[in-house]
Amino acid sequence: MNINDYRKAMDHISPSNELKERIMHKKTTHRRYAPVHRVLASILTAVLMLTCVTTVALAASPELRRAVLSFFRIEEREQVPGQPDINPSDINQPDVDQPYDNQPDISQTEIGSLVKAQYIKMDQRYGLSGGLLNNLTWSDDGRTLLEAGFWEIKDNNLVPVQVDMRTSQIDITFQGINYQGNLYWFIRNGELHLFQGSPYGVDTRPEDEWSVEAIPERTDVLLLKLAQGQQTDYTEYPMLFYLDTGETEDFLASTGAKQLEYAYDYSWSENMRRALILCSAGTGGLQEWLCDLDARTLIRLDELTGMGEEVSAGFADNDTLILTTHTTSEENETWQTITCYAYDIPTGQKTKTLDKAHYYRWWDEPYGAQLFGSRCVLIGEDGQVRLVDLKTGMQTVVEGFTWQTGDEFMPSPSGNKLLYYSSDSKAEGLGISQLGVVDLEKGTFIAFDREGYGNLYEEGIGWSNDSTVSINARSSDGETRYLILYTF
Amino acid sequence: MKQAISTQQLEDAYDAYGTAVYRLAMAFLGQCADAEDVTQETFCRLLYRAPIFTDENHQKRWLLQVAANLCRNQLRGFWRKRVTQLEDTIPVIVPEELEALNAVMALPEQYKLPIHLYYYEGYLVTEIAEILKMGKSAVKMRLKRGRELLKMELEGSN
Repeated sequence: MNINDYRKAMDHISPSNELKERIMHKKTTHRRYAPVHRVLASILTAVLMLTCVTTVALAASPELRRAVLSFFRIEEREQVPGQPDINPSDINQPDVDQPYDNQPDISQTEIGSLVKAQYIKMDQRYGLSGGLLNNLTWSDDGRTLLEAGFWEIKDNNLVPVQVDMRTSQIDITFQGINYQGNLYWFIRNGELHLFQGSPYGVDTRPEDEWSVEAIPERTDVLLLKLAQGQQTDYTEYPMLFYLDTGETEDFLASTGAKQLEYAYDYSWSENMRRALILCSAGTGGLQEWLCDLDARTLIRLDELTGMGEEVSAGFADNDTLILTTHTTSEENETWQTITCYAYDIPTGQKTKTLDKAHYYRWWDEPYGAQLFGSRCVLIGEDGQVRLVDLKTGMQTVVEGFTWQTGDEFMPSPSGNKLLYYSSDSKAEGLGISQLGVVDLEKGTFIAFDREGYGNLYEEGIGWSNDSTVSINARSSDGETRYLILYTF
Repeated sequence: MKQAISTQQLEDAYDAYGTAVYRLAMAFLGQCADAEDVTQETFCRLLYRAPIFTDENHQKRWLLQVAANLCRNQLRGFWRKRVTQLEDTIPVIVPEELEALNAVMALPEQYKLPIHLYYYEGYLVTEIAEILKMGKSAVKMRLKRGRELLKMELEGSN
């Protein structure tokens, strides 16, 4: 099977002749177009997902109240290693004392004494979890972990790390579906490391999957998410799973959340006593519900806030929601402006913190507001950047920095930092020409230029943890993989 | 700025791009009836809400963009149990092709459209980003992840 089979198959698919007749009939009868009211559900969902990701630690910080944040560009440029120009080992001193065979080629450097960069050239793909490289061997069916090796990088070597790997059996029946599988985990330096085997049970349909999600600052319990269906009938329900005992707890049982149809996305307050639950609403679009575990209540967000069905929300803290509404273009349903409110759940008080800001659309009007949970980056038409605390409305000007086409921000796991990078559109891969971090707590923004990024095909960039950014790359022939770690 | 289009212009547009719109909807939704709904809705918008196009490629990109938005909306709005298997709704094709089609259609929704637009329609990453209203890096990452999930040989994939 290859992609040409897909092309040939798709060539067989054509609409019926009746469809053309139906469309042309609409024209000749001048039937008025009925607008779809709940449009852009996907963008709304994306915003909500982003909100979910960044909710936990995005409480507004007093540090943000400063009005100015200064941008500092490191003068020293990073020299990106890779084929054919530079070998990592040429940059720094050669490796000594190989701790184990087939040691990857590792080098490191400092950029402007502010950023530590580590280059790992390897003949195989390593995983990365919690600052440890790993090499996992799974059984053919993907359900059983056969071997696992972990290493940390010290100087220019990989040093093996012994971990106390535990196994938990997932075996739970929910709504007539039996979810089975193995979960592997260990705790190191107060951090829970999770590795999940294939979720498919012997008697489950492939789409009936389970997955797990760590709970911030907890190493004894995690969220076990039980899914049914796929795409049009996808539904998810969370339970607590206690690692030591293997017991599950239906902690939403008393709230009525189980009765929600097609619930598929949950975001949690920091103390996990409240949840925002996103549901598909049958023929019309989306419904969002606020679930209160202590009060055992479940209420639709539009009813709670009185703001209509287009409102979406995320948690700023345990008692505060950030509500977002938008206007859309009549032409193609893109968001035009967004307005945000801080909503105090106990009192119902609503405070507007962003008013009809132009929504950032890089493809035609690359300025305006980008939402990152309870914070927002506001890019002016002149490229000036302001950070907005959507709980307080406080705006902080970023001095000395001008937003350019190709620039992007990405929030860290805690939401307290933003990764900044700029992609060279002429490059084959991501082509990251500039890299930096905005520390929202410290009020700093540092970045540096990269040279030689075209030596590698850069495939991915992201946060490994709240202080480390990683770039995955490969050589042009695909034979050699690189992992580049930046510690800010 | 919008434009009014004539019956002939609508027919010309449908003849030129109707199949592409329908195929995109099929790739995303997997159901003939649903894909027809999206196609019909897309051309209704052309009829009543079309912007002034700079060229024919612009018109096609706009149609695919609207179709993609409608698909995403449709996916969450469908009466959800109204699902039939793909094999029942498409013409008979050879097993390898059916397998490839199923593989793409079984991808999570965020990967299907980038894969379809890149490998079937032949759009560049920049154009896909415009159509799907997402960043270029996001498109690249979704293409990469989609390829990994497909585990499909991509020879002859340009």
